[in-house]
Amino acid sequence: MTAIDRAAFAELEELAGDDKDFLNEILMTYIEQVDVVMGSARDALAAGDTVAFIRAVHTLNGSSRNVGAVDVARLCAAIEHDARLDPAAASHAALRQLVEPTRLACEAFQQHLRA
Amino acid sequence: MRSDEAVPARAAVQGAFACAWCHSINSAVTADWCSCVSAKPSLTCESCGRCFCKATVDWKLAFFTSSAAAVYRERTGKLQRAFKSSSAAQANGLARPVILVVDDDKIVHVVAKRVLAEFGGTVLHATDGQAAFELAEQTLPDLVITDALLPKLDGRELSLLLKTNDATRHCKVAVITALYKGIRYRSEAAQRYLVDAYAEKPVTATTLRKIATELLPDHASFVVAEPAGETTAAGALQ
Repeated sequence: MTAIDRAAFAELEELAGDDKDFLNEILMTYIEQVDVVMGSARDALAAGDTVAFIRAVHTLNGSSRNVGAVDVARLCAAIEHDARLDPAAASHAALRQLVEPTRLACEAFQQHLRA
Repeated sequence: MRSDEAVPARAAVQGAFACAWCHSINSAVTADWCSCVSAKPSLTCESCGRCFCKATVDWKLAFFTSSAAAVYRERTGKLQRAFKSSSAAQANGLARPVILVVDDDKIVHVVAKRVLAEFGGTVLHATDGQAAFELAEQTLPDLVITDALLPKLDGRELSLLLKTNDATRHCKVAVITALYKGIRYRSEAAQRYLVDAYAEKPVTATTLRKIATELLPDHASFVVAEPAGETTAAGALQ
């Protein structure tokens, strides 16, 4: 799986043990959450609410780290950091940077779910 | 024994009422509330010492619908306290330990539900600080594990609220954060926000087990055995 940290994912697999449904639930939750959080970030930008934008990116950072989507997590951390220093960095351009990494991560997890 | 139904209404409007039994005049504002085991206690007569909990419904209704504003406020407060008390009683019906997990990341809830089930109690979930505080007041959790950055109420402020509230001050609180890292923040969390344990994200199964084992020592026997060195002595996270 590209874009996914094997060590973090292995920890989830270990926690799941033989219970494939549990692992699938986590991956499904992540895939759903990506859409929801990206939507929240877009809404926050439309409303000019930098705090809500940072919170949304922060949430995506946390859940990405939990499932091993390290590329997404790193990018979220950078966007969050920049937006805290300068509210102008909370922008649609910043959010667009997340589109491709999140797509790759979700695709990797979907492949795992189909396997 | 029946009370005198004609007396209370007009007298209570002026902050005074006649005892339902001996008809002595009392102050509705200063009279003691009775200690009957009831969700709707009443006032005690200073002369005969009896309350009017057993007066007729019409008598009590007439009294409370026409009594002074201060009596109403006190009455409302008593009913709210009775509600909280009954919630606490309800909380006692939950399997212990009760662990409340607060995070706006759904992945954390899925993982926590799985891991904390090993402790044999009840795992509750909230996604913002305000909802968590309200849930904690109702269920009196033994342990609250919260993210620092939350909608509506910050996780560290949630800790301070819980620790300074009579009903919830017993709760152990662990804050897990990806934001406030470093010794300065750990120390601030313990001293200013009264946090019991502090850990950095990501929220892994190991982190959750470690926190629960350290902060719920009475329930640690429920934990699935860890390899040596996986858990540390209580307070190590502070």
